[in-house]
Amino acid sequence: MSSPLKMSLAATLVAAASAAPMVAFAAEDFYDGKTIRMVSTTGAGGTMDLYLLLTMKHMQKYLPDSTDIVLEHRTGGGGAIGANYLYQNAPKDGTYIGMPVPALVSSKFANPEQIRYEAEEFQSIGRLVDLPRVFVAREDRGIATFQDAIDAEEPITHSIMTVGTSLDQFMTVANDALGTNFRHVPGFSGGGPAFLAMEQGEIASTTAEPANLLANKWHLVESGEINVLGYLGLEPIPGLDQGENLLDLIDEDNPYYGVAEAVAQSAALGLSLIAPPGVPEDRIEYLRDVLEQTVNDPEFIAEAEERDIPVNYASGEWLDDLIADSANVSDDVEQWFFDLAN
Amino acid sequence: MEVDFLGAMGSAFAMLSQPQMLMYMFIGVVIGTLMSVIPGVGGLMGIALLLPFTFGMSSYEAMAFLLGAMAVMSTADTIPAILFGVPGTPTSMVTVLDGYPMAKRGEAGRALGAAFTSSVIGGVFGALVLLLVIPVIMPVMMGATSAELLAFCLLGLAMVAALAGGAISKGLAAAGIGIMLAFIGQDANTATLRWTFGSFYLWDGLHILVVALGIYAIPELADLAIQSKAIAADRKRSTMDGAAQGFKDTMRNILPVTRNSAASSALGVIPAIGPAVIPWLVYSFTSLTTRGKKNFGQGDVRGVIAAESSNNATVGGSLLPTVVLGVPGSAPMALLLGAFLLHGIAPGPDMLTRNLDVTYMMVWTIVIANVIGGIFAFGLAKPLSQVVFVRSAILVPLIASVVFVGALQSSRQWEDVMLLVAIGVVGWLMKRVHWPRAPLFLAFILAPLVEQYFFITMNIHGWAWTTRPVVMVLLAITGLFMVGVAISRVRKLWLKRRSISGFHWELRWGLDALFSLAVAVVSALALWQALGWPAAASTMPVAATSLCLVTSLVALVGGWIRPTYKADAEQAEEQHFDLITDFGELTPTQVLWRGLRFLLLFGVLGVASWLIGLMWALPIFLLVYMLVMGEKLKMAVPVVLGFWAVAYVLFEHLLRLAWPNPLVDIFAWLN
Repeated sequence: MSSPLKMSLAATLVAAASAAPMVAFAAEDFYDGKTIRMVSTTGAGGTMDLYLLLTMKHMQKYLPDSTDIVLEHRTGGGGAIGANYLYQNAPKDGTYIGMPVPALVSSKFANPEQIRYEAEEFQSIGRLVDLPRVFVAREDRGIATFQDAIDAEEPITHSIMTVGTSLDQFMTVANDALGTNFRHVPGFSGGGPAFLAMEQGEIASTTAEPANLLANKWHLVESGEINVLGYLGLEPIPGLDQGENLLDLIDEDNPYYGVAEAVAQSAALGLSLIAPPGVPEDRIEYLRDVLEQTVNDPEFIAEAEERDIPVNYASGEWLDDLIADSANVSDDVEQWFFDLAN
Repeated sequence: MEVDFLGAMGSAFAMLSQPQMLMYMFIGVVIGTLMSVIPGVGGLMGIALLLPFTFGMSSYEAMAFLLGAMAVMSTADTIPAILFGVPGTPTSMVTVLDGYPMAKRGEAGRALGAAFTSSVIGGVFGALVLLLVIPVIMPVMMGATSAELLAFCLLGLAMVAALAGGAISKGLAAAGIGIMLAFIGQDANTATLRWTFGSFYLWDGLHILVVALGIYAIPELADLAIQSKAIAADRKRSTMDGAAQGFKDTMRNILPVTRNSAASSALGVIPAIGPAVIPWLVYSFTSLTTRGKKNFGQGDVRGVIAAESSNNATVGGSLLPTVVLGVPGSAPMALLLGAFLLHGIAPGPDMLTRNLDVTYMMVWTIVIANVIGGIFAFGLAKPLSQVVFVRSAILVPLIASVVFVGALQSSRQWEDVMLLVAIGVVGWLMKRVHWPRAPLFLAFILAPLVEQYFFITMNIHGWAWTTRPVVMVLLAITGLFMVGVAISRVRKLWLKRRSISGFHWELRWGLDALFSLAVAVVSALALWQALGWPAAASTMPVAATSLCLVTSLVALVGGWIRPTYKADAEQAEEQHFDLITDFGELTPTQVLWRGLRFLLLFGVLGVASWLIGLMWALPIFLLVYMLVMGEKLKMAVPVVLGFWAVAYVLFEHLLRLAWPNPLVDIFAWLN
C-alpha cells in the first residue's frame, strides 16, 4: 500500500473513530431538555406498566439531567391502536418509544384489516423480558402433567380473555399440536381474573405469566393446590424447574409445529421497546446504549431482584432479527391465527 | 399462622404517624384534590401522572402519597359535578343528579357542604368498617365467583326500574340505548365486531368518561348557552351559610350516611364490582326507601348525601381485592396495583397475614386522607360556589374547553371529541323530551358485566348457577324489588284514574314523538344487524334492541294517548329522575337555533384543534365564543389570556398531557 493511501486510510479510520462519540454526543444533545414519551399499549397497571415504570426510573440516570420521561397509555384493539399510532402518527424524532404487545407480528395474521404497520420497519431498542406462559391446573381435577390433559375424558375448563387473543392461542396450540383436552371459557377481563377463577375452583386450568406465578402465586404450587404442567416459549424460564416446554414435546414434522413456534416467538418478543420507523439512526443507537446501561445498572438489577421482577434483556439487533423471522411464516400459520380470531 | 390483628392495626397507625409519611400523604391529598377538579385529569390519568414522582420515595412513602391522592379524588371531583353538572370522574355522575339542580337554585354552597361532609364521613366510616372486617374478608372475596357476580349485577340492573321514575317506558328505552352503546366493540366470546361500522376506534367500545361527559356535561353546557345567563342568575348570592347548612343536612341523615358507606365499603370488596357501579345502587336504593316528601333527581340534598357517602367508601373496599387477590376493581386501582408492585408491595394472601400491618396502613391512610381532603375541599366550597354567578358567555366556553380536554384524554384520538358531541346531542334531546338519562348510564356500566358473567357462568355451570345459595338470595331480592316497583306503579295509576274522565287520541309530531320514533328506527336497524351475529355475540344485543324497540314504540304511542282530566281534579305530578331546564319565554325554535349555535361554536374548538393543535385553538375558540355571545373585547381578552396561560402551564408543563397530532404542528415548527 502506498504511503499516501496508508495516510488516507489512517485519516479515515481516525475520523470514523472520532465520529462515533460525536454521533453519540449529537444524539445526547438532542435529548437535552426534551420529554421522552414511553407509550404503553395495554391497560394501565399491568405487567407492561410495571416494566416501563421500572425502566423509566433507572433510565433517567443515563439521559441528560433535563430530559424527562413520561408514561403514556394508548390502549385498545389488543395493542394495535398503540402500535398503529407509533408507526403512523408518533413523531419520528426519537422522543416517542413504545412497548408493543408480544403479538406485534401475529396480530397482522389474525386481524389484517386492523393493522396499519409493518412490524419489520419498527426500530428495536431492546427487550426487557420474554413472556412465555405457564400452563397450570388444579390438583383436585387430577391434572398434573400435559399427559393428564391429553388423557382427560372430560374437557378441562380453561380461562382465557377474548377468543383468538394471546391466552386462547396458547391453549389452542396445545390442543392442536399435542392433543390436550382443554375447553376455553372466554370473557375474563385479564390474566388476573382468569387466574383467580382457577384459584376459586370455578375453572380447572389457565396459563399464567411466570413473573406473577413465581412471585405472587407460588404458595399455591407449594401447597399442592395447583400443578405446573409446563410452558410455551423459545427460552427456558429462570426459576421454574417444573414442567416441560411444550415446544420440546411437539415433533418438528407435526403440522402445528410452525404455529407453536410462532406463538413462542411472540412470547420471545415479550416486553420490548421499539421506535417508529424513520427515527435517525444515531438516536436509535443512543437509546439502545441507554437501555443496555440501564438494565446493567446495579441498582436496577438489585431492585428487580428485590421486587421479583425477572429481566431477560436482549439487544435491539437481536430483536430486529426476531421480528423479521416472526413475520416470515407459512400461509398455513397465518391462516391458523386468522381462523382463531375470526 | 396466628395473626395479631390489633397489634398490626396499632403498628400500622404508628408507622403512618411519622412526620415524613404524613407529609407525603398531605402532598398527595392536595395534588389529588386539585387534579380531580378537571374532568378527565383525576382518576386514572391522575394516578398515571403522579406515579413517576414516587420513584425517589420509599415504598411506604409512595403508598401514602398515591393513596392519599386517590382517596380524595372522589371528594374533589364533586366540585365540577355540583357547580357545572360536569362529572369530574365517572364516580361523581350520581352527584350531578341532585347537586347541579341545587347549584342552579343558588344552593351550591349547601350542596358542596353536604357532599364534602358525607364524603368525609363515608370515607372514614367505610374504612373503619374495613379495619374491623379484614379478619374475615378472605372467604367473601374467594366466594364471589362469576355466578354470584352475575346475580349481583342483575340486581343492579333492576335498579333501572327505580331510576326510570314515572316514565317506565322511556326509562327502559333509555336503558336499552345504554346497553346498545355498551355492546359496541369486540365481543369476547366470539371476537365478533359489534356495531363498529369498520371503525377501529370503536373496537374496544366507548370510553366511560366520554359517555359520562357527553350524556350530562354537554347538555348542561348547551342549556346554559341557550339561556345566556349564569347558572344561578335568578338567585341571591350563595354564602358560607349554605355550606354550614349542608353540614347540618348530613348530620341529620347520619344513619343513611353510615349505612350507605358501610354497604359501599362491603360491596367494594367484591372483586370486579367497581366504584362506578356502587354509588348508583346506593342512590337508587336510597331514593326508593326514603320516606316522606322527596325530590330525587331534581335537587334533593339527600341524593347528594347518598352518592357522596358511597363513592368515597368504595375506595377502601376495592383496595382489598386489589392488594389481596391482585384483581383491581377499576382502572385507577389497576394502576395503583402496578405502582405497589414496583415498590415491592406484592399482592397475595400475605397481605392479610404476614404483611397485615401494610394493609392496615393503607386503610389508615384512606381514613386520614379523607379527613384532610374533606377539610381542604370544605375550604374551597365558599369561593368556588360563587362561580355559579358568572355570566354564561364567559363560563360556558371555559367549561367547554375543560370538558374538551377531559374527553380527549380518554384515548387521545379526535374520535373522542366526535363521540362526545354525538352523545351530547343524544343527551340534550333526551333532556328536552324528558327521557331520564340515569338509566342509560347505569345500563351502560352494568350491561357488559352482565353479559360477561352470564356467559362465563353458563359455560361453567349451565343453568345450575341459579341454585347456588347466595345466587338464590340475590335473585329473590331482585324479584321482590321488581314486584315492589310494579305494585307501586299500579297503585299510582289506580290513584291517578280517579282524576281522569277518559282518554283521547292526539296525533302530534313534536320533538318527543320524533325522538321516540328515531330511537325505534335505530333499535330496529341495530336488531336487524345483531341477528346476523353468532349466538353468543347476539343474545344480549338482541334482547337489548328488542327491549328498546318495544319500549320506544310504547313511549311514542303513549305520548299520543292523552288523558282527559275531570274539571275539578288535581293533576298528580310524576317523579322524574332528571334535570328539567326552564327556558322561560324562549320559543322551541329559538331554543333549537341557540342550541345549534352552541354546537357550531363548540365545533370551532374541534376544527381549530384538529388544524393547528389544542393549545393554539383554545384562545381562538374562547375569544370567538365570548365575542359572538356579546362580551366586550376589553373583558374577553384578559379572561382568554389568563385562562390560556394557566392551561398552557398546567397541561403542557406540569401535567404534560398528550394530544392527538394536528394537521399543522405549530410547536414542532417553532422548535
